[in-house]
Parts: sequence; structure tokens; C-alpha cells
Amino acid sequence: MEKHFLEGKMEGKPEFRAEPWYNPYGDCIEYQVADEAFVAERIDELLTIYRSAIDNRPVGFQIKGVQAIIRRFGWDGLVVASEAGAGQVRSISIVALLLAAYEEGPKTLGRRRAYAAVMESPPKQHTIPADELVPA
Amino acid sequence: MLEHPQRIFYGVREHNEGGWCYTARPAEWYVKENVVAAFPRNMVFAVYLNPNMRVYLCRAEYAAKDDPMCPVDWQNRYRGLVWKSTS
Repeated sequence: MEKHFLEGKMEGKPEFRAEPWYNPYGDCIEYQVADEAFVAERIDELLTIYRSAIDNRPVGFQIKGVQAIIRRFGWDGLVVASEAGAGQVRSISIVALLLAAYEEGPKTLGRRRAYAAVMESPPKQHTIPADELVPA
Repeated sequence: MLEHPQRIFYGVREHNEGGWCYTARPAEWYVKENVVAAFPRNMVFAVYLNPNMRVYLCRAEYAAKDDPMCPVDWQNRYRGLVWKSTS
């Protein structure tokens, strides 16, 4: 098989993980459930749905402008607290973030359907630790 | 892609000043592990750079009808088209 052009520059074995993660260079949350090619369908300024290039089913999403959403709505409406060991961990709820993103735009049928589709199959890991949400 | 872009757009986010989007159409792409297919005609590949010129995203998007080298709705999504390949 042809070598990937970045092979010499990467360490470790490539691994696909179907978990949401915060991309600090783009200030966005990325989530992809299947390790296959997808096409991005931009819903609005804050939400993009990823559809499989093989059969067009939704295989993930991207929430953009995370810091702007937090500034607009504050941590109180987005954070869930959980106990971890001796201390308390603040995590941000991805569904709460999606609801906040929905409130930011016009209440159109297309947007409502798109946001509903994303929320119908939420990630198993549905929170991200608040201390990870630091833009680079 | 970054060495031979067909279009370059400036200003990719409403909330983040600046940023760039480079687009082109590869002949082929990996659709899943060990499976290569022709790149679809109705799509364009986009690479996004933040204002510090750091690549943070690359993905296929639906192509605009008025210019198949541009992502759909490019007129409203970016501040402007700053470079267009003539080759």
C-alpha cells in the first residue's frame, strides 16, 4: 500500500476514536462515529453535519465558535458537574452546547431538522471537560 | 492541496477574525481503509487554516453550482475570494 505522505512525521499508530473532542486550533468540537470519508453539510455558522460519502447517512458533526457560545450563554447553562476522585470536575454538555447554537440562528424548518437529527444520536461520551476548552 | 490550490478564501469565521480556506479537487480519495475511489464531481476538498496559518481542518464539501472549485454558498461564508488559479 502507498505510504502516507506524513508517515515519517507522525509518531505512534493511527487510531480512530468515535468520541467528541475539542480542536483548539479551530475552536470547534469535532465528532465522527465512522472511520470513513464524509462530506460536510454546513447548516449554519455554528453547526456542520458530516454525511457518509458512501451512503449519505449522518456520521458526525462539528460545533464551531465554542468560545463565542460560552461567552454568549455563560458557563452556568452549559456545564454539568461531576465527582471525580477527591474533587469536582466541570464538564461542558454537548447537547446544551447544541441547544445554545440553535438559539443563535433563525428558527427555520431546515435548521430544526438538522439540529434534531444530531441530537437523536448523541455521542456516548456526551461531555467534554471544561479545562480542555482552551483555544490555541 | 496547499501547494496547488484552485481557490483561496479569506475570513472563514464570524467569531474568529481572519483564517483561510484553500480548495482543490483531488483525482482520488480514500473512502475507507484500503478503498480508493474517484473524487465525486459534485464535491470540492477544503483545507482550513486559522489566523496563525495552522491547519485545523480538512474535508470534502459540496461544490457550488456557479464554480465547482468553490464550496457551496461561498459568497456568504467567506469575506472574500483572494486567489484563483488560472491553470
